[in-house]
Amino acid sequence: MLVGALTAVAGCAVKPVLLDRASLAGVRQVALPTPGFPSAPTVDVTQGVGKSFGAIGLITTAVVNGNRSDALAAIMAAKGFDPRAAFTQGLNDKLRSLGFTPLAETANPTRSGLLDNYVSANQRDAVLDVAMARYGLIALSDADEEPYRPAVALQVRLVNAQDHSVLMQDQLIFAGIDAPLQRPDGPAAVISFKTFDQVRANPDLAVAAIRGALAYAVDAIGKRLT
Amino acid sequence: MRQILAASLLLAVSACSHLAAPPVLTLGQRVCDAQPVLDGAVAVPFDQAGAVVKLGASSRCLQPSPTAPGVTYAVFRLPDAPQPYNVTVASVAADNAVVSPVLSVYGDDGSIRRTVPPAAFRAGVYGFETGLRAQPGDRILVVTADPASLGHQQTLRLSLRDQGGVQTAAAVIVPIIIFVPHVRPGLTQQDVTLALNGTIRVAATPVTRVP
Repeated sequence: MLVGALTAVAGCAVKPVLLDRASLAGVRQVALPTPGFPSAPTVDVTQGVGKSFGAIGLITTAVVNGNRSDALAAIMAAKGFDPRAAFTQGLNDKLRSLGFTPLAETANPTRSGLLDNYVSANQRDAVLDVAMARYGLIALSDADEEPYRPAVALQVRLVNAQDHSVLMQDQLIFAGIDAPLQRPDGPAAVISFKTFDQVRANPDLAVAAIRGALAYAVDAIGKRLT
Repeated sequence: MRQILAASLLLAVSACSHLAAPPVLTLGQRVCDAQPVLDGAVAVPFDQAGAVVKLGASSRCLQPSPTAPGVTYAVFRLPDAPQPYNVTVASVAADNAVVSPVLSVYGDDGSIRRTVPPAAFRAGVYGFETGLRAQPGDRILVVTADPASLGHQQTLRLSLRDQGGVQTAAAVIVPIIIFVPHVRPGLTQQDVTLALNGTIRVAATPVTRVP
């Protein structure tokens, strides 16, 4: 069974459009529709048997571990950590730090993909559409040598509000955070847990891992806007 | 089908990782152009594949002053379109060398309309890439190896995203990149030297519009 959440990422894959910085001339007010954000974190664990078949085997045996996802959600709740609020605040702060004026707009908060349209009566220069398809932890197996690491997957699109041309869009998948990253994102500090029991035993660190992954995602979006 | 595509990608990555040719860091005593020669530009079609130029020791070279090092360059002719369109410029690593690109856009009259420095390029699949919104009148692209970067080392982290020929499968393939580096640690990154040789690809596509 392929990970269900991966399908959510894959279902509406976007072809990357690289930003031409010159096209940001005159862009000041950037609408930020309510980011799409999962209602709960996801903990993915691949089964040991998959290792017998290398990468291909892993693909077919990755599953969402529901119990552990629930446990991670409970840890965040107990610690009073609101990942959606942290992510949204991070996006607003990032836009301001880049010299834009973010304008909050209401959108479907549970969507896993980008918006269908960008029609609005609001006055704005551009729209930054962000849809987080998943966030949480991922481990390649239950074995100790494969630790749980933070992971995020999202889609992002910047649209010119006047002519609705796409100025930038991309699909970002950061898993284990130290794996498929590319400059200028660069490697991030990685918090990992050898077992899920360590996640349960270190709730503050677990929250820090998720917080760090979300901040990492915000930074990655920011770098695509400069 | 997914497995077949993923296996193909792995094989492609493996094949690339075993090629090796030394980075070209100097052109020796070659006599170079004092300014880019725009004649004979390679036409960029309006499609995803784009036009490709391989740069090497015998490619066109540019030496703006006697004290400057000679550097290789490639010249592309952009499509003649009345409306703006997207241009993607990629400098792709060839073996263990990659060009740190400087991009200049020339108009019909041969004058430079804008210049894009290396810092504007981000690391993409096997190299550096940047996007342009070409305007009417943008006619020629000149991609030059950045002399200040020659010899510097760069680590590229591999991603299977956007590999040629699997666009339709990308929706499925993309999540797979999560797993590959862990299973095949040797494929996670590639050390390259910023050099005078490499491959430059330029593609032109219509501006994407959304409702």
